[in-house]
Amino acid sequence: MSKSYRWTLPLVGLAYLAVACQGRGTNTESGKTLVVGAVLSQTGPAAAYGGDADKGARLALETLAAESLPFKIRYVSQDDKSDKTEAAKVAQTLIDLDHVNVILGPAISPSALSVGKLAEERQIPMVGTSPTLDEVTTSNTYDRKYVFRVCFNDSFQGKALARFTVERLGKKSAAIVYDKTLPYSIGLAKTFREVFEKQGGQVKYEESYSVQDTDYSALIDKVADFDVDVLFIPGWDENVGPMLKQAEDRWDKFILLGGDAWPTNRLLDLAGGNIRNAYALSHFIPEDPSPEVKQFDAAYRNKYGELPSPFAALGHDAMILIADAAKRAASLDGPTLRDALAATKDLKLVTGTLSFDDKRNPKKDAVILQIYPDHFAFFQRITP
Amino acid sequence: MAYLLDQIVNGLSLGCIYALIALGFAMVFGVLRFLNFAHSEVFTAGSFIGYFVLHRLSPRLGSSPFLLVGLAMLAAGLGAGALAVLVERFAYRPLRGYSGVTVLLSAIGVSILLQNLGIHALSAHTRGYPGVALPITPKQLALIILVLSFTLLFVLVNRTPIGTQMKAVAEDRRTAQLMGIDPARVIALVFFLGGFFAGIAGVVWGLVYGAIHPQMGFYPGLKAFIIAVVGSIGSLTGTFLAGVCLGVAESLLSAYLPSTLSAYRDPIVFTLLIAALVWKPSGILGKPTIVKV
Amino acid sequence: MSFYLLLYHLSFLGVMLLLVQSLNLVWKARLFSLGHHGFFGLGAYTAVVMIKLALPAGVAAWSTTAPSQRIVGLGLLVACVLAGGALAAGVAILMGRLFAQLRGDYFAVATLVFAEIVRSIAANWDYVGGGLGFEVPYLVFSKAGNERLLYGVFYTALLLGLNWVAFFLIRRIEGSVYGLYITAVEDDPIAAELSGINVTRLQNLVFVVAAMTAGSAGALFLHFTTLVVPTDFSFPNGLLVILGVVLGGLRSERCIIAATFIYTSYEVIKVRVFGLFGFESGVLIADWKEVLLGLVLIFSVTLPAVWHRAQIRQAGAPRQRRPLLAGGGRGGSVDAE
Repeated sequence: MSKSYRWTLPLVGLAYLAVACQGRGTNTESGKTLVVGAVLSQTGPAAAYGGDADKGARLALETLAAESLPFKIRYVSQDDKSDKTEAAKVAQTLIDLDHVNVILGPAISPSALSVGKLAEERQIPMVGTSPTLDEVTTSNTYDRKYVFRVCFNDSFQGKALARFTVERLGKKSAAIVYDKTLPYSIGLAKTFREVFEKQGGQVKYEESYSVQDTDYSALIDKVADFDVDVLFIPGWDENVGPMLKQAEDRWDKFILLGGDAWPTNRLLDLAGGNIRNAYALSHFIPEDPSPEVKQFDAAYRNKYGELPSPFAALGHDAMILIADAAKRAASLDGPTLRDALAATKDLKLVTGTLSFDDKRNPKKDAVILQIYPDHFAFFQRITP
Repeated sequence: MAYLLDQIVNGLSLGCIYALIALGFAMVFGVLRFLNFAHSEVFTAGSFIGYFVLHRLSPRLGSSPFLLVGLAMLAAGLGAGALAVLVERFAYRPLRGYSGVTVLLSAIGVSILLQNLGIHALSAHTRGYPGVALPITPKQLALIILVLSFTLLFVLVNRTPIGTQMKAVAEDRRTAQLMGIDPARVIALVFFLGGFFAGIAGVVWGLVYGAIHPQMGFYPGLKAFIIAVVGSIGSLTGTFLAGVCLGVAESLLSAYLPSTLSAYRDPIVFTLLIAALVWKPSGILGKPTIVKV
Repeated sequence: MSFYLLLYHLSFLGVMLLLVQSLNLVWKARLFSLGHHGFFGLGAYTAVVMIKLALPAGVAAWSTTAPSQRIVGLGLLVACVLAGGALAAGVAILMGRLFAQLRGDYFAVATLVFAEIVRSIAANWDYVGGGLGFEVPYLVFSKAGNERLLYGVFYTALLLGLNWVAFFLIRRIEGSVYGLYITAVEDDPIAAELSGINVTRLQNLVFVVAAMTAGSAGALFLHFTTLVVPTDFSFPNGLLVILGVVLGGLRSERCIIAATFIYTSYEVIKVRVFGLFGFESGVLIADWKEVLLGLVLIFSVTLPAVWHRAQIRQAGAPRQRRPLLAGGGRGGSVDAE
């Protein structure tokens, strides 16, 4: 290439990139349209959690469209591929190019950490659907005032499960099998252990696996020799399912206990029917007799033709919460919207009645489900 | 002691699956001198074919599980073999004569393509493999399948005319051509056989571990490939030995590593494999050749 | 228009280019390394360890408000970059020794496995955060409010500047004796060896220099994004680097830059292009990027071969310069058909 052409290519490229960074849609008059950007894991290992949340949110949009709101809602949904870095990139694009007023999601804690950091820096409120890790909203080193979530956090979960085991099941000896590579799992295991031991229980053994494992034979054999009553496995359904299937009958002497990542259809599918004598904590169950749940269940089944999962319910609730806060807020810019969110009190949602505490975690109920080989059943409600 | 034996048996069956996949790598390399990266996806494809066949036929053939599994494996093997032949025809044949790395790149491309087509067509999430009520455990089944496969292959390669043709093409393609052998057909057959066994391995994997997803082939494929190398390419016995050794090593490491180190099982296995490569660049049963540069 | 976002993308491009340029050099010397991203990871995690050692009180104890802190931050940044490069270089020297006997495709896979090992260790080592990765504080500039632009400009300038330096250096090398050696090895390593060039030493040298570049790029990446996760240098991402080299061919730097640019900006461009046609981004959950990547890889290798063969078949067609990655040498099969 001759000298004169040397600069054309880079310049063209630069121009192209500049055009690509052009914003989309005018959102300068933020009083008119509420732009909700969703960062949800629709592909990847956490596809069930994010995909369902997206479905729930879209259902909520229909419900909201029927109400007369002082603003239009524009919903932009992006996939973070269950990856934390991708989530940050996607959120960045949403904020800078789509000019979102609020971010819905993410569904998993690692993504929620990175997007939360960005949200805090850019002063855009974020409402996580199912990231339960404590550190998402606050930790020893920071307090993310712009980060909210509609699900309970791991401290609450661990406590609820521990109390359930001791008080309702009456069992005092447990073993924990956790996922070493998921902070969710590590955190939940820790909270459970602390509260369990405070209540007089004893965690006699702990074993770990990693989220990429496919062969659990060694683990199964090791655990089968434990002499405990309860086996607590705070992991993702993708691992727990195959683990239970491979365990066949060797773990039948245990009562199995799981966290909120258990109640999905995928768990039942992967466990291949080899799941009995098991309980898990969840945000919601369709058989709950309360009117909000009945209405949501009917609408969801009407639109999607399947039973709603807890994660769909959470996605739905996140959207309702956002719209409710936007109604109360004087304007739709970041700080005002954030304050409106924080002030939410006794909002009736599908997954319970929601009020935020000072750490932007909701004070709401949880349900314990009993798990049968082919379905889940409501067992008990836990109030905080 | 019983625990140790259990783990060894686990390892053996794991090793069998690896060895089945490694067969494909070994044979293709023996004949074409290149590493068929896309073989992992052939394995995955076989697994999914088996999945669908089992779902379809389970209600009707539930009473004869061996027939059910047999049909599933046959379908998986044929389908995977066909896929392998297709891949060879379109992604490797145009590159005949070029260096191994060029074709390796094409193979990587095929691998990515197939993986992601799988994700688009079938969605990335993990599925549970249908259980089949066999009188023997899936792990024992793996062992049996491996022994059968190796016997079959051994007979095929060493006692039939087509096997002699394969060996001839592997040794010197030009001369084989001069002798009247059509290398294109032989190569297609080699790919088919490799794919066939990988497909069967896919079904076995599904039955043993109970979960499959479109990207499941990457790690087993990588390990199987290294087994083929360490077992010294082209030597069936070597591949068999190496596969079994790897399976047992992995299993024992899983069982006996203290929990602080247990997550490092994969890096340790990989390091061992690299060590094997470095120590014996021609494989454990190979002769040292002067092919540097 | 978001100027900051533009800078952000340019910085990512800068990091990618450093990797692609260095790998290009390695491949020219007939070392078909597939694990270059492993050095990237090594560099990034060296920087992580350095930050952990330098800030024993924890990363939250750092703030960049005072100017003196900024200077210290700058020093720390430079130290991380140098350390990252140095460690990567050291490992590369070791690898050169170990893998000296390996043939082309074996070497390729050995490097691939090496990169996997690096990723595995990073994902499982709790000290550096394990699977969740590690977050470092903002050195020098932060993203708060107005400083954001300054932050973007700083890193873009740094990365593009480094790329310019690399580009310039590569030009100088090409013009020098070493450039001749590398071209000789690229054309025919056996002939080069016979002409007296110590091919192994040259290859090792190139490998080490490239590793150093990749390591430094890794450390810079860490500080630019302040967050690194082991999946950042997993095999699919490593493939993007390889793709840049393959698409660019081994000759033209411009092509490499163009190719790298295209797929680095793919995400953003895709949204705009589809937006033009009225598709909301939510509809496109299923991203066809990886499928395209696979197809491009296949065609970029098979098409030139088919074209070349067609050329040869044409009687009397002048045989032009050997197409990229043609047979012979450290790769195995020597017979052409």
